[in-house]
Amino acid sequence: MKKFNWIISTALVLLTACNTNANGQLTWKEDGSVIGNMGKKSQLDIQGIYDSLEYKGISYLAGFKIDNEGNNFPYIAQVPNDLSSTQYWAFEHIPNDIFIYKETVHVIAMGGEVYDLKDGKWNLSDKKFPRESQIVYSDNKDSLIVCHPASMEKTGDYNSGCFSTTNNWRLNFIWFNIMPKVCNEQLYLVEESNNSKLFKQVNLVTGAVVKSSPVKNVPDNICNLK
Amino acid sequence: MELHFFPGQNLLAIKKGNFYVSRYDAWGGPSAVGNDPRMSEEPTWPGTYVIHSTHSYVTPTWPFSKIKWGTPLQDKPQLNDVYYQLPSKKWGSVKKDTGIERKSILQTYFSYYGKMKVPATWVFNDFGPIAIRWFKDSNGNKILDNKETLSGQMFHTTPQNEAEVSLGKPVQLGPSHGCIHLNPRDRDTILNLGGFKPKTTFVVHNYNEKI
Repeated sequence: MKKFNWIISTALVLLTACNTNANGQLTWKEDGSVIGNMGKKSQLDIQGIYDSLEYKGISYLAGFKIDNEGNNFPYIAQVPNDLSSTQYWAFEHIPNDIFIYKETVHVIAMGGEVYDLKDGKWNLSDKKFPRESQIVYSDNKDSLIVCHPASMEKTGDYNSGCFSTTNNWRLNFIWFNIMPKVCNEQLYLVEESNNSKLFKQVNLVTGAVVKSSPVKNVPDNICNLK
Repeated sequence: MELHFFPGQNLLAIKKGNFYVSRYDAWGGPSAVGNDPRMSEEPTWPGTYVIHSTHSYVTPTWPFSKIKWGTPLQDKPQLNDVYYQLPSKKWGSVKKDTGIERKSILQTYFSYYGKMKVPATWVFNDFGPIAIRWFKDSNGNKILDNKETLSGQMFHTTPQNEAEVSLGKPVQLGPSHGCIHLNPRDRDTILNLGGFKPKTTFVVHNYNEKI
C-alpha cells in the first residue's frame, strides 16, 4: 500500500507537470503544438518555432508555414495563454526576436528592421538595428540592450557587439552564437576569438567590464559562468 | 603550362611558353594586412609555388565550412533544425554541430537563391565545392615532402558566386582573406584545360606587377 501510494503520488505530480506550468503560461514545442494554462492542447498552423514572448497573458510565437515544395513563409502567431483564439501575421522577412519596447510588442527582423504591433497591425518603425540583432534586455519601457553577432559567413560583416539604447555605451567584440544574456543584474558575454574565449561581466548602466576571465567550456546557460 | 596571378590587377593568366594565352578575373587578399577580428585579411603572398591537389575543403574556423559542400540535408522543422548526412551515413544536427540555426539557413539560402527553403544539399561552405591547393616547393622536386606544407591560401569559389552561376546571373567577385576567389565558370574552364593539374607551376606576382 505504501508503494502504491508512492506510485499514485508520482503519477499525479507528473501529470501536473505535463499539462500546466507553475506560472500559468502557455507551453509550446518547435512542431507548433501548444498547451494552454488550463491544460488545453492545440496544434498551430506554423512549425519550426524558434522564438516566443509572453506579455500580459498573451504569447507571441515566431515560426513558419511551409508549403508542399518546402517553401517557408515567416509568421508570428498570437495565442492567449488560455488558447481561446489564435491570430497569424505573415512577414516578408524572418522575425529574429520579439520584445517589448514602450510597453508595446515589437519584433526585429533578421535584417534589423523593427516593427511594432498597434491595433492588431504590424507597422514598420523608424528604428533600425544591425542585422541579426537580438534584444537581450528590455525594461518594457524605453531601455534596451541590443546585441548583434558577427556573420558566420567568411565574406560576411564582422562588426558585432552590444549596445544600450539609453545609456550611451557600446561594446565591440566578436560573438557568433553564444548570445549575451542578463544574469544577476549584469550582462554576461563570451568574447570569441580563433583560439580562445573570454567571459566578461558588464555593468548594465555604464557598460563597464566588471570582470573578465578566460573560459574553456561554455555551459548551455552562460548565467552559470563564474 | 604555368599559372600566373597578378593580385594588383585581379587577374589570373595561363602561360604557355613565353605567352599568356588566356586570362581570368581572380580576386586575392588585400595588399596589406586587414582588421577582420575573426581572421585578419592578408595579402596573397607573392612567390613561386606548385599546385598540389583539388578537393572539397572543410575547416572548423568558419561555421558554414564545417560541412562539406554537397552534403545531403534533411529539413526538420518540427525540431527547428536541419540534419546533415555524416560520413557514416547517419544524420547529425547542423544546429548542434555548427551552431547554425534553421532560420539562418533559410535566410542565407534566400539571400543567395531568392527562395526561403532548406536546400537538398549543403551549398554554404565558404570555399565552394572544391579548393585548389598549392605549396612552396623548397627542394624543387614538385612533391610535397620534407618540411613542406600546403599553403592556407588556395583557389576557391564562394557560395554567392556559385548561386549566381546556378541562376544564370553575372558573377561579381569580391575580395578574400588571402585566398584567390575564382568565377565558378572559370574554375571549370581552367580545370578542363589542365591548369590545376598537380605539379603545375604557379606564380603569385607582387601587387605592383602588371602583366
